[in-house]
Amino acid sequence: MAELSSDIMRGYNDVIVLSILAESDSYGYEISRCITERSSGRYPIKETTLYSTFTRLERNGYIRSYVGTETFGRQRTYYSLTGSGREYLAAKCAEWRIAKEVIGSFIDRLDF
Amino acid sequence: MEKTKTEMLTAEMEEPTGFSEQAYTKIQTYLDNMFASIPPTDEAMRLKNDMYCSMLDKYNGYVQEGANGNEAFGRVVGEFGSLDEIRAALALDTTAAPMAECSPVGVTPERKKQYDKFKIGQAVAVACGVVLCIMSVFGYPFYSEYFTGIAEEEPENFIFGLLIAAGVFLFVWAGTGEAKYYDVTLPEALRPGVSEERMAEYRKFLSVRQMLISLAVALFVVTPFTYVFPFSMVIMPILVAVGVAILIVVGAVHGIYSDVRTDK
Repeated sequence: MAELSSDIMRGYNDVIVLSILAESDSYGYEISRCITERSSGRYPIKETTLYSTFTRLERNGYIRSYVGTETFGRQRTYYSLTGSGREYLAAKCAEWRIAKEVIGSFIDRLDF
Repeated sequence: MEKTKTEMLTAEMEEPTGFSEQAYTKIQTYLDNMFASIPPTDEAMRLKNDMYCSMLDKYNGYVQEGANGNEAFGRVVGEFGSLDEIRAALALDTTAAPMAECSPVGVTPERKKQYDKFKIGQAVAVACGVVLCIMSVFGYPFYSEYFTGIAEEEPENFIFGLLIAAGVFLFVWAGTGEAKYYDVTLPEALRPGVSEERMAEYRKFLSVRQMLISLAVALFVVTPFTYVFPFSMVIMPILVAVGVAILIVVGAVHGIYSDVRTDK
């Protein structure tokens, strides 16, 4: 099964995380597992990639964190989508649809 | 919308089992090493704590899927990623080479210092062993003159044997001492899929291997100097043959552990 290169996915890690949080609040491991399952194992996101995404999104005000349940004696951090995060996600989804059309107009002509 | 209390309690009840204290320590130590070069701000420490929880969750997930402790730990560490991403997210300088990434997993600086001291002692022991072997032969013609009180007959043979024995002892000590530091030289995280029993078996073999190689080296060093003995034309090739045989057998057995070794 082919894996996606991290270079291609780099621009859309934010969108992936925000889209999962748009469905419900979640925490690190659950989000990581969701990404692996939905991508059918083709994008096993690295721990540092995921948590740097959380840090960036929270700094930009697109998500907020709160303390949830305890795990192994430590507080687990949950994340939820903010209003500005929802707007940002909508804009990125529109951008993706345009990008998909543009790239598709080149690739769809090929027989590969 | 925040998770309801019921959802949170349900998640808590579904906490995975199979967690081991050793995994707790190994993952914590790994993260301590990784974050050693990152300034301990509140944000960085919270990030580290969150990653710790996530890595433990992952570890348990793999264990529940059937992986053993080492396999699960290896996979978790293998999926860790690059510290540069964390640095960039925390707006730190990404050009600095983090010290933690240069150390094997779980090795503290103090332990590394102990190993470095041992390596110096090992080199000194081997050098002293070589000196004793050389002295045993070159001094042979003079021992009967200066050590007449030590043995009634042929004191030179006694001194010769004593010096050789001391030299070989130092070679063997230098070789077997390495086994105590396999936590430094054999980072387990590089061997996902290897069982703990297999790893223990390999470490035991490495101790014996070191000892046998030291013995073979001792035989090679002593061989040229056995010319002083009668039947040296017989003794010398026998010593060389035994030394070579030891190296061949040790090399062949070492090859059996190719599933454990990283230098394959």
